[in-house]
Amino acid sequence: MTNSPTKTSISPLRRFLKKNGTGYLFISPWLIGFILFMGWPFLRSVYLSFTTYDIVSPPRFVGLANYQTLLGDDPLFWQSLWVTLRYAFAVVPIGIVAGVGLALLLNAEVKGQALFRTIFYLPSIVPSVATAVIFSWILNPEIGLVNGLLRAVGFKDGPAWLTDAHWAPWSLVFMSIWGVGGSMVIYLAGLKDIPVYLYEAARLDGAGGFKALRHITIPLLTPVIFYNLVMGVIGSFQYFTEAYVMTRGGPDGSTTFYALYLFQRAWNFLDMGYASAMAWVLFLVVMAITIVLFRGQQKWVHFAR
Amino acid sequence: MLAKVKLALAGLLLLISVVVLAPPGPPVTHYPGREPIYFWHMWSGEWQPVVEGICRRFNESQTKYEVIPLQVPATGAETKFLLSSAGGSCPDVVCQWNPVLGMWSDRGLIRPLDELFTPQDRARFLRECYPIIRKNSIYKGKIMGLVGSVDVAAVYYRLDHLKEVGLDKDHLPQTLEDLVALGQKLDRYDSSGRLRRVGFLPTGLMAYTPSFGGSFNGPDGIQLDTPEQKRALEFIAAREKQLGFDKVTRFVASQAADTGMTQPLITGNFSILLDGQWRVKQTAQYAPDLPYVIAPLPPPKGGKPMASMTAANYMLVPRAARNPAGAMAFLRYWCGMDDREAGARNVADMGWLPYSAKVAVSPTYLAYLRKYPAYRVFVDLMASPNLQIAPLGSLQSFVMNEIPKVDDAVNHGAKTPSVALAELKENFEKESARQRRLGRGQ
Repeated sequence: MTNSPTKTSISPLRRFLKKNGTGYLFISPWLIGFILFMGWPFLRSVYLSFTTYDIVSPPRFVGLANYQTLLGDDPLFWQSLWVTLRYAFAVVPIGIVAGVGLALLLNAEVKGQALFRTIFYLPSIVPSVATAVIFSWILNPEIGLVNGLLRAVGFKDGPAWLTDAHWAPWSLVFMSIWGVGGSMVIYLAGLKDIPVYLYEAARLDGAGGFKALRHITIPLLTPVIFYNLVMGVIGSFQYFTEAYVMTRGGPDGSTTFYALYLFQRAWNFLDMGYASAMAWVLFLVVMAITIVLFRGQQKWVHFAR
Repeated sequence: MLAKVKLALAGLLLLISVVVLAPPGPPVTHYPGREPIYFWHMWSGEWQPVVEGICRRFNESQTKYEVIPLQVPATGAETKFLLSSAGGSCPDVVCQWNPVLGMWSDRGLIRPLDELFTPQDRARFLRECYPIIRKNSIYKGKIMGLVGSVDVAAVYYRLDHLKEVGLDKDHLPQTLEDLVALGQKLDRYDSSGRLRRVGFLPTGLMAYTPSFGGSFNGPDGIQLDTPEQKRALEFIAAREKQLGFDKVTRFVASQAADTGMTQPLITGNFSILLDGQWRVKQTAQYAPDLPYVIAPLPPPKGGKPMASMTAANYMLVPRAARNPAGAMAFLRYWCGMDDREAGARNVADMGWLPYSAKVAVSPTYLAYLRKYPAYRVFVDLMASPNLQIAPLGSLQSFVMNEIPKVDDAVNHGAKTPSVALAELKENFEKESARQRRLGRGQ
């Protein structure tokens, strides 16, 4: 028995296209967009990071000069990295605890459950600029809601939240809780995914609510927690809008986040080469943290059921 | 399979129908056959129709060109212009009020207007314009933009507040020190010690440096940490300290939006304000009976009278403009170079100060001054040799980004003026060195 001649004459590419062509055709709008607007700029920025480039004149190759300055001669780079790291270390755990806690509460079978879920989810779909403007007023030291409440319970003067260098970064951390509804929905989905029979078995074995939470709910929720942890870290390192709208990096540089500094370098100072180098350093930092998290997850994330 | 193809074809047909049948946008041109001049500006709200009115009048004034204005949100205007220049599809005229002249000139983004002026017209422009317009327009010996107007600051006094301490418009402070002393008398606190009204609060290194005889531009470019700047900053810090850094921070944060009825002069939260000329028209609109008077900022001992920092509205012609001749015709009309009555009407409509004394004495502008006599102080200031311009040079954006940090640190008492200024200079020198290393001169 021999192979038919038609079968052997078809090249692997044609075979591949014959098999998958329709699929690729359907996703082509996204694929073309991705290649043009993500893939190419992504690769191009690698080259630009080794150049001096102001978007008007052609880029000029400067070797490692941008990276050398960045790492060795730019205190604001280190300061902005520290501000961002500190924010990430504060916001990500708070977001997880608040998100899981809220999801647990909203998972309870109570009257008006859907309404509560909607209420807690709504803030996360409010545009971040609108949220920032509202919080600028809520955190106003004289006429703001927060200090008004503090005054009502006996504090004479609450902190100058956004204008005191000690408080400003923590005000933004505090504000981040506002958007916890987004992750809460994912945790809720994760909770719904935990088989009920596990709780029934635990109850038969005499486990109370706390033990069930500790030994069933949390372990089985760890894949979702891990997902939100990684996304939270990435999101924190890209933090920009609120700082741009509310504090512009001040007071005294206390909220000069990495992305804000990168934006200034790129668009205010027309330093695209330097900004590209900054973007790649950020990418590497985020990548390194993500790798560490993925390595560490083997010890605490339970994928098996 | 056939069903899938049919479905895909139906989708495609629907998409084409949407594209083909969608109603067209409103026409952008009203004079087919004329050469278009695309004009990007940043005036929104109540100012946008005024700008569009000026464009309309220009279009009606001749038969060759048509200005097509486009309002670009101020926050993204620089970015949009840079991208349009990089993409090769930029406007013919762009207006910008951020100090960008040096940076954009050095990057080759804008065209020297010397190329578009005849030598006679160039000489006439420089002869006719106020010295401060000249200072703002020229970079490295070339006219890089037409400055249709500059913002100048003077002191607004609330007369009803002055009356509380037995003063009136004929007995205003003659020195900056007297002004602070008066301001102190006008401060008001509530029962818990919070500031409820501030007599006078000087803020901003840039705003006060000219009165102390200082400038941000020296013969070798941008200059920082000069003795005059230090004295200006020490003066600001002393007043903040006198009031209490924290109290000032809280008071300032509690102020409503600085527009319309809630602007501080009208609300009376400040008795004395150093502010720009635009307040006159705004106040007339929202509080026509408000008792106030305007006078130039009194100099400190050893300082300069009739001094002020200025902010320019630059009218620029991009290097890649497709119709530079049309752009120039529009700029000349905008300022009133060839028709001073038209120029006077333009600046009066915008609540501006004219670029030259020629326009300032035109019947139209004189009528405007009769309507708003308070403007006279600012018109007189325009001729003063003690007006200064913002830092000018390749790194002006960097410096303009750093100066508010100095203000911020001093206003909060986080740094002394000496330390803050020394750091500013050091940061600037480091940035200059870095730019040189990368092959860009400062």
